[in-house]
Amino acid sequence: MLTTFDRRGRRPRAGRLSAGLLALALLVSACGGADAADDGPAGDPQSGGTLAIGIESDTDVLDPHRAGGWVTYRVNRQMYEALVDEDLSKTSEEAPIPEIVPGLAESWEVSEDGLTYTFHLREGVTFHDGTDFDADAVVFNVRRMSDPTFEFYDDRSAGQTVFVWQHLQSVTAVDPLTVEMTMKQPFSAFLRLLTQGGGGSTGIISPTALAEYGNDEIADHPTGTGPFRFVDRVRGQRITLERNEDYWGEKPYLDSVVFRPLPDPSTRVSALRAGEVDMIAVPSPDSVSSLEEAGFDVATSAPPHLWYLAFNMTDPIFSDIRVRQAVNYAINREGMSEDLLRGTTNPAYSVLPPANSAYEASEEYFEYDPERAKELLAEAGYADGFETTLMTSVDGSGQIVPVPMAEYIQQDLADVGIRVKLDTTEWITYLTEWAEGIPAGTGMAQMSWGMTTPYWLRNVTSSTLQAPNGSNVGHYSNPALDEVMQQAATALDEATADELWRTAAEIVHEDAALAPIVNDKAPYVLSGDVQGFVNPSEEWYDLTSVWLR
Amino acid sequence: MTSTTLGQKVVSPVAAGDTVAAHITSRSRPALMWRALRRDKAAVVSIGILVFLTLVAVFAPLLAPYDPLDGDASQRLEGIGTPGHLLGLDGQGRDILSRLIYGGRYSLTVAVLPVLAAAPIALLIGMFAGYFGGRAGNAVMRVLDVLFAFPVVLLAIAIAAVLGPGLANVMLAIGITMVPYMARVVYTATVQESAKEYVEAARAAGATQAQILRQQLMPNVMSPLVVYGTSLCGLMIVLAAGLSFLGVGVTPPAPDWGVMTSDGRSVLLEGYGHVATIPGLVILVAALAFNLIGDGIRDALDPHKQTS
Repeated sequence: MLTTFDRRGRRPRAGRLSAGLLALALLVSACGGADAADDGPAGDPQSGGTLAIGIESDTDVLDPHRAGGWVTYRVNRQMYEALVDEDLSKTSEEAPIPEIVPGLAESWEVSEDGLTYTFHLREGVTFHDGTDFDADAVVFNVRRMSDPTFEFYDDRSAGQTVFVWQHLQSVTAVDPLTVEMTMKQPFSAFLRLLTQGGGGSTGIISPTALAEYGNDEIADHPTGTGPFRFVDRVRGQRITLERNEDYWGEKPYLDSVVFRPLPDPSTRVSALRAGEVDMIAVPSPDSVSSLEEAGFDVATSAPPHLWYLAFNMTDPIFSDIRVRQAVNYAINREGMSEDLLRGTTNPAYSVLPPANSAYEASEEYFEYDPERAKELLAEAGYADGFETTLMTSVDGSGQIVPVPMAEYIQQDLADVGIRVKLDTTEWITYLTEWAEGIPAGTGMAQMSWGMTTPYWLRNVTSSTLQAPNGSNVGHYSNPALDEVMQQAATALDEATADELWRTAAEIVHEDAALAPIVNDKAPYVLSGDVQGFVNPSEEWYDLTSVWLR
Repeated sequence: MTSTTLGQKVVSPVAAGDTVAAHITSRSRPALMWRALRRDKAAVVSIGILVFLTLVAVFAPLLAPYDPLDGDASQRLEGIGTPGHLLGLDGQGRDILSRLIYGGRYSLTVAVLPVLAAAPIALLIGMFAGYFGGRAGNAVMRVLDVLFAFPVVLLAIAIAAVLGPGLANVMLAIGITMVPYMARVVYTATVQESAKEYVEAARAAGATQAQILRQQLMPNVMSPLVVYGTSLCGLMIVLAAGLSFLGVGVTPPAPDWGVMTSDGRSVLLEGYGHVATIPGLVILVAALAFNLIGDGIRDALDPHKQTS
């Protein structure tokens, strides 16, 4: 019943309908009439099949060191592995923060002073091109990302992964299966950062392939050690991967995976309903319940994915803390989550998301209170309100539905007298403008981001990382906060670090430097044929456990 | 120059036997046109529709039952016939009828103003190039050809991106992108008309070039421009909506009809079709009205139809 190539064969009715009567079929299914998948018992996992995934935008380059963005990492991490990995086999409920587990390193030790990391590599691992994985390969890769004197040093890779290697002193191959890294200072978040992929990531590339194709061309010939290997990419159309038959670990059930960029949410939902893809990322919030009624499975999670506003601290109005507090009080986060976003998000009150070791439920911060907001504005001398601008993208990776959300905020703020103009920009342009910092005359900027390590907070609040030299786009500066975060970053044990990060988060709250709005549940919608998919507490997922029935 | 543009086909205001004495003066033209137009039922109804829509937009604060910008999210997406909300509510829980009523202020302005602004520029460029021709005229038209090479939307995005978002800038951007198209229509008509006997006669009678351009040629090239311009009006609403969708147009929460339609697109197939289709229908009606008026004017200007 299951064939490798004919995915539609499994749902002949939907497939045929889609050819001629797409609109009609969709209307019918919107009314809850269509049967998306036969819901029988799942049975035992079986091998074979092609999984087609509708993703929310085209990806960046398939070079793990250079690439940016969650969308791209979700593809890259199927082909590339880092020294350490995360256990993505558990849902957010089971593991709010994915456990760090061995990757290409079987085990590791950290010296007492927190300065030396010794990684013991896995034996018998080969890259997709047949090259053996060993300590030299690791050194080659790390030097590509961090050592300007190295022949294959790559500026772009270094820029994208600086958050990982910034404190690295040296990297040496002690023997073919042992790598030693020394740090200039203790760096408690190091292991976790090795597993992250929001910016650049540290997946190990075959040194033979890098030498052959060079730093620029390697993205067209991805060669890693991961469970899937690269087949082809048609820009804007698809990326195809196939099972790595020589994989060292549990081999995937799937024969192949096709990632299809479908930037428009309605198109993604239509493609899923028509059976053109088996699962989609980021359904429009309004489609979720009708998809569920039509028999699709919705997998939500609680990844570190905070949709927040940064305030322009250099703005004459927003430099007043009472104004920033007022905005925080004026926004009805529950209403936005429940009404506008139909429960696809959770209201966010903390700048650290729940998927974070230093998270503390802190709902006493800025609970919806428009009266309090009005009082604060009056105290600040804005009893009659004021006019300001909120900059937002119109779409983009992880942005949920930014314009309707901004309009919602606009209405909430209008209720307390703040007249907000929206400055809307297409995603790629927006990212550039955002990275340059909030311009004069604009009071707030929207972004959505986060990491499982509280170290993330430093990215958006440290005075040393003010835009354009970092992601502190509001030019927030608090020396006391910088000091606490420096201590947290260099703390030797995680408990001390977490305690310090909590203090740091508290300072950010007291200063009302950011307005956390919602935490995304990052829903994926799957056809009933997709089994074994786990949506973990990260913005990416593992596909080795997925199978098709 | 090939002579198959829209302007060429629709206009034959001065038929073969024209002489300088028989050419229609600019003063009598509107009156004649109106008389002919009144006989065209479709055009009359269309004018009625546009007048109605305009009046509704002008008196929006008196007519709209709700604030078009303030929504109640707990009621969002409720359908046609919801108590108190005749046409239902949109994705922010705003009253769709109220937004339509106010939306005319944006959409009708966007439909008409860019065309009105582009017309005189197009008239100047087209007549200059068409009448004087030669190297300068050719150069002007080649420059316009370069602009033709860019898709309208791309050009409008580029201009709007430089100017920043906002209704005025969108209109400016759209207006600029329309100039080459309208100038081409004027140019073709001018070249054609310039070769006619009445122009020669005027020249022989001692008319200056300025007089020939203004008194003889302009009334005759105006007609294809008017016809073409009205047909563009509906397109403008859609183009402006497209720019808004790309983040360079009318900014939310402005109740522009085009923006309302594209807003509703994401829930179109989720059982909330009313959000997109209602403003879409209004755009359709308005665009159709503009086009029918254009057709009416064309027929009214057609001497063969006038006599029949």
